[in-house]
Amino acid sequence: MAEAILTATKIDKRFGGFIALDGVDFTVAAGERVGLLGPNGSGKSTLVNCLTGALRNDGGEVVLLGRRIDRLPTHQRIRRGIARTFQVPRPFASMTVRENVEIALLYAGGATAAGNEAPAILDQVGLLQKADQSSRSLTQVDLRKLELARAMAARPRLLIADEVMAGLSTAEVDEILALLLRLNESGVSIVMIEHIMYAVMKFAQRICVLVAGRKIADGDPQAVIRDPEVERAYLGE
Amino acid sequence: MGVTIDLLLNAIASGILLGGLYAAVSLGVSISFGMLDIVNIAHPAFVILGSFVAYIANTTLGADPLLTSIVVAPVFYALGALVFQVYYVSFERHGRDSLRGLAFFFGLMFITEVGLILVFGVDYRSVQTAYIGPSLNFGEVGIPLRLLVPCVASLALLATIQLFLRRSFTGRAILAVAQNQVALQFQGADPIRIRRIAFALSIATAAIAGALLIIIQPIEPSVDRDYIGRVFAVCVLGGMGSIPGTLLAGLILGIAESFTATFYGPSWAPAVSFGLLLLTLAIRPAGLLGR
Amino acid sequence: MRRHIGFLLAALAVALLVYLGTAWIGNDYVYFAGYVVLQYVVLATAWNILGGYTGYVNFGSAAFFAVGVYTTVVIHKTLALPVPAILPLGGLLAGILGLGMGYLTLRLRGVFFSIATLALAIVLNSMIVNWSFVGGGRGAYVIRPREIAFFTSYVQYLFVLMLVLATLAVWIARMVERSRLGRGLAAIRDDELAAEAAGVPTLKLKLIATTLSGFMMGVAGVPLPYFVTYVEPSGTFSLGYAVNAMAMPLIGGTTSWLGPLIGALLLGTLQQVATVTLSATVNLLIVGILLVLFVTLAPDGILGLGRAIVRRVRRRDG
Repeated sequence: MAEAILTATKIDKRFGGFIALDGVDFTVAAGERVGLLGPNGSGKSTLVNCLTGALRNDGGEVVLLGRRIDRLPTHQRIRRGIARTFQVPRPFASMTVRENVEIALLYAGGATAAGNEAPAILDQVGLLQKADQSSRSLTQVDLRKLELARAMAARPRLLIADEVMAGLSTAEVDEILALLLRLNESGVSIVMIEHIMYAVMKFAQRICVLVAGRKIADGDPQAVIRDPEVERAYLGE
Repeated sequence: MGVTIDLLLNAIASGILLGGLYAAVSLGVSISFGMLDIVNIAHPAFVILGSFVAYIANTTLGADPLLTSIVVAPVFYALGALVFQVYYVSFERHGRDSLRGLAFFFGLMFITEVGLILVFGVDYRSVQTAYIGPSLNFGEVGIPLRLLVPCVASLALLATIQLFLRRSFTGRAILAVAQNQVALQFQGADPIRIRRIAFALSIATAAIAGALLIIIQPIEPSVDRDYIGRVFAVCVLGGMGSIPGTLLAGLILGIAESFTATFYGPSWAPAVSFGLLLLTLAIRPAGLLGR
Repeated sequence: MRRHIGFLLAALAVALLVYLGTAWIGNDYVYFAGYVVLQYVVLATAWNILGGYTGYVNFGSAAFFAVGVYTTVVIHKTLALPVPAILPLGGLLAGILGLGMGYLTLRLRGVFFSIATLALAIVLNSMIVNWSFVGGGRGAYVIRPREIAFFTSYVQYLFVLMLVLATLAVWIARMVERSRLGRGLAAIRDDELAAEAAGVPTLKLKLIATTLSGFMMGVAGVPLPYFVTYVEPSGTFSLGYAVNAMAMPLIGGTTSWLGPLIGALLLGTLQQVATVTLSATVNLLIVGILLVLFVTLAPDGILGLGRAIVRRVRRRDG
């Protein structure tokens, strides 16, 4: 097995009296594709927020490429190689598609001439024709692609894709899956959070399942989905 | 001069009485900003508007300011509903743009203040009632009725609002909106309507707070500025939208200002609320009774 | 950088034309009115760096402006330095005030910054009222030199000084707007969380914006004591400064350096003309009403209206 790129140990997160994450361990190896599953409210998004810095974990630690990052602000974590997309797309509404990508190139991608790389990235996600459109005018699929393009512009070693396929048609799901696979082949580790089972099964080499803030399964996809505890969590008693 | 006991007791007493007023003036902001997340910085200007309405009724009809304010509260309620509607249609519906929303309320504050200056000028105005003048004396501590009546009225106002929020269906809907808008939609209630009612209610309290204010002190149109720091300090310190918190924070501010005025001079009193606000934001942004 | 220098030279050329125009008229009233309008150009441009570019509302422009004003009063009574030497000092103090305010409040939700600036003017006001060295509540007289080399009058000198400051302010704003910093600020304005996730150091950039904006407001206040020769707190902290600094960019258009410039020239001139016929109070009422009308009906200001008209004409022709 390749060496770990991200190691999160015993992550705790509480909101008031509510325990959102309870001692969750989560690792990603270099070049790995991991699926993160769990019912709504199980703590998936909270975990992503703790890893990327939108929230601060109450206990435990997050190590990225050998350095502890859980006390750093988000933008510094991004620069150290961990990028994310948002479940609900958050484009910079006053800017064009190209400018959206350029911001990430300017600040996280270490690029000097922003104009040079943006077209290549937009081409990869299939948005090159719409580069000069206002990001406000994009459709849902295109907004998801823009989220991915912006994350890719940060030149991450690890990309966390938070429900980038929710609400898309089968053809669109396949399009995005192919895109993520290509990205993975170029050496980027990917964590996919998704409800669309067939996409996760097709994509992930390993699956983690969170239920009520605890990790209840972690391993080979086929084995995990047959796990009785996982079945119970998803299908009820 | 040393600190004498009666000086101290008088400072505490007037601080508590003043605190009652601050709670009443801040109540509307605790509803609009604390519960609805609408940064109505024009609230103190509406309070002053309430003061002037009480002033007109008092000088022309000899009406009691408190009575007047209860009569005109529905008019203020309607005004509040109108302001909310404009705010909602122009800003909230599109989401995000808080910049222009803030500018909108700033403009309203400005128009109200300057409009009042045009009509009434910058002279201080006051009202005449039977309870302005006499005092109750407890040993060395004198409690002027001019301060006591507004304080008691303020407590009654806070209690009424708290009771309304906790007991009535609409009140509980307002609290639900304050917690989470989405949950309410599932229950079939219209969150926009609930927000409009709550905001209108917050402006209605300004009518009453304005009457209390002009009983306590003479006012002129730009007095509202002295209250901007106060109302937001009280709202934040009180834990954003908690009525008991508003009362507690009002009392704390009242006592702190009263002490500052007694021992350092009244010209420093306006700085107290600002210091309190910054201190709260720096140390405990959730406020006293917040989580 | 070369294109920025080009713009600066062009702007200075425009300023020179303005100067020649006023010198040709040669009337002191033009200098008086011009000074006030140009002062608003600086204030509105400064406000817009934080308000328009970054999306953070500063209600306390008067406070930052007053720091510049009272820096001059203090220097006048102690070292008696010439005005150009006080400019950086007044700016620096106001910039530090901006940094401090930002540091205390910007880590929380942005609206707390706005609320704090609202109260800031009141507190600074009570500090000045209690500070007898600068005249306290009664105010202080500042005697200006009767003559100054190269200029026909001291007022003309101050007018030219403000003309240069306004030119520099617009130049700086345009430079910020088109820089990496400006694009980061725009990202913050659009969506702060997404900006962080794109690697934008939001807190640092916001602090730069508050400091720069405060600096420019402070600089705008420095020459005022010599212009009015008598300063007192209620005039210096007048709500007029706060509302104008904010109304001008919002009416002109906030996303570009041109917006505050248009807004300040238009509204500033309007007020100068109207003060002759209407009272100062009616004047301010008009500004307040215009502010509310524009933010509700024309959120992108005059610039936005202009762009919409251009688009419509193009569509009809094309």
